Amino acid sequence: MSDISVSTLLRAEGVGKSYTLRGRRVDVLRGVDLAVRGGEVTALVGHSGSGKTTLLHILGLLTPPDGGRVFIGGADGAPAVDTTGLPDGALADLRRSRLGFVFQSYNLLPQHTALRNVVLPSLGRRHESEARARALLARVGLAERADHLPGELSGGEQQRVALARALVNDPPVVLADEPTGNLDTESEEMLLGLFRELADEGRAVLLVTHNPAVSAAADVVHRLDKGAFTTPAEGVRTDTAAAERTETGSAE
Amino acid sequence: MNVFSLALTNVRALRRRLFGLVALVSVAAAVCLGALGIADRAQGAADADVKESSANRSITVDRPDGRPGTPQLTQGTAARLAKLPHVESVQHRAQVSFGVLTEAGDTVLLYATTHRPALTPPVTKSVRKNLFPLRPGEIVAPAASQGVDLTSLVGQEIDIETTRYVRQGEGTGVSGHARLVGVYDPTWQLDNPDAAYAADATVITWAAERSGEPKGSYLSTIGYDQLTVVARSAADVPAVMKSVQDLGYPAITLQQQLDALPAVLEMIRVVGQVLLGVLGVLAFVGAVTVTGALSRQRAQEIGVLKAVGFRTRSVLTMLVTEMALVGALAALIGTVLGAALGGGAAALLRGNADLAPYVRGWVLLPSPGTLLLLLGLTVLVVAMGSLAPARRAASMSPTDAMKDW
Repeated sequence: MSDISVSTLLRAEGVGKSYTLRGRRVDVLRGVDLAVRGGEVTALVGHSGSGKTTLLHILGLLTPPDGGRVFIGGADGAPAVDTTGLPDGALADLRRSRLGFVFQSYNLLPQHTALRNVVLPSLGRRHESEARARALLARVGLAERADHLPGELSGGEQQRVALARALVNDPPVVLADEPTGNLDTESEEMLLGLFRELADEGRAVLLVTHNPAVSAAADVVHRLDKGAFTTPAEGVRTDTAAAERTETGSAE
Repeated sequence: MNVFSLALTNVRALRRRLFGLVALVSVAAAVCLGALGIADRAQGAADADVKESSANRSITVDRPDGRPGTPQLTQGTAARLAKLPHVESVQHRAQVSFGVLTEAGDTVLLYATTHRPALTPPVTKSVRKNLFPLRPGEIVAPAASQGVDLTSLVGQEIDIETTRYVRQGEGTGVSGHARLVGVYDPTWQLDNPDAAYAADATVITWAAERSGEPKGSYLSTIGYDQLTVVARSAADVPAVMKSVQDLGYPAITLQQQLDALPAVLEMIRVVGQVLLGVLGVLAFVGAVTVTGALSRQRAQEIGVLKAVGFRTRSVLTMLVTEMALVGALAALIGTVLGAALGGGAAALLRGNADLAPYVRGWVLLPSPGTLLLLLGLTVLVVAMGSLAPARRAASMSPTDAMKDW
């Protein structure tokens, strides 16, 4: 357990990760510290290969770090859990209850309807989860498409179904990897609006992106380069950055 | 939503890729079920003849051929066996061959056999209600023998031919007449399939003529062919059997006699049992191969499931349930095909008059117990076959499973 503050729902401490490629060690992450707070949209930006997706995998408990620790806080002030060394089953339980995932390529199961895709993470709790899934589909504007297969939906609609799936267990943290990468501008704006709503509800939203429009919509931006942050530990607040840009523009 | 409904949807979505396995297992199951269905029905027809009567307390004692010190099955031997503990009665059987000449010019070789009250054959057609004891000159034959249907001859005087002794190894035919007063179900196998029951005196007369022994001394010198020893209760059968064997006589229980089926049906049963083994191997190997291949193709799906919080055990359960459903589907299709196949084979077998009584009815499937066991085994074997590849797939880390997320 950790004594991290209530508002910090996800925290990485000294997280490192390296791979061996053709006999050479490649350090993807070098002792990264990150705190993702509830009520904020946090963007993780950087060039391809900077380590942002690997960091998202580690924060999402999909892959273990080589060093450092990841803490996950609960909703409503539940104590944070140190995930180091937890068995596979416990990690799966944490992923199900405390994390919601949105993938760039949606990753909906093509044989299941939109509704069943949304229900998927709450397997075994039929009635309550189905009602919640319908409510979530209505929230993302897809109530009428609940019984459609993913192949019958547009990219933007599929991504909204994926977002509904991420929320079905009411997780305090939502992680998204390039969520607007395959979307048109209109769908992108709608999705960013939904992310903003989630943050306004008190959730922590962490987006990995290289899209300036997405990072501009975030509250805090962290920039990764060669496995380390180039931004301050607390990140750059976008309102500050925007003000700086405005001031610089005025001076010029 | 639960794992079962998830698996069911997946099976429906994957039906084209699972078609080969379903076809393979269902055809194998059909052949297996068809063969076992015929064998079961035939065995059932034979076993139906053993009822809770003196029949299941009977021991057949044969001549002590090759045992010079043991007396023949004479009247004295019958009296001696009757005094053994737990013996209710001893009934004798003499048997001698004779020919029946049909209107078509065929000759059917039958065995005139003494009727024993303990083992009355199941008469299917007769000229009167109580046939036994038979009167001299009357015969009750099997309904079909050697491919000839004898049912139409019931009530008629038939031409017969017996054998009279001339010298050692030589006899001459003697023509005569007998009246066919009834026919019995030929699955009654106790006195061999070609036994024709006749009055005791008639059988002894023909047997004495054939042997060259005077009729008056036949029973004290050559004696009977068999004695049927009836125990007081079914529980006494083992003890009586031992007493008889201790006296030096070969003996067999009625149930052991009835277990023997005609060779063709026995072969069908063996084929069914062999196919059962083949089905098991096919189903297992098929499940291993298909689950392994599908798991590789579905790696990303498995990765997504784990990423959204499925435990390894849940993924494993889903994959194994899918294959169990495939096994159940194949078993059900196999049952329908097996019934059709068994019906077709039975129709062919019914063309043979000797085999027809064993394969009555159109839907030939094994008994419900055997059927359920086979269906269960098919599902179990397919599920077991999928276990190892499914466990490998379910154990993948989410990031390895969905590399391009």
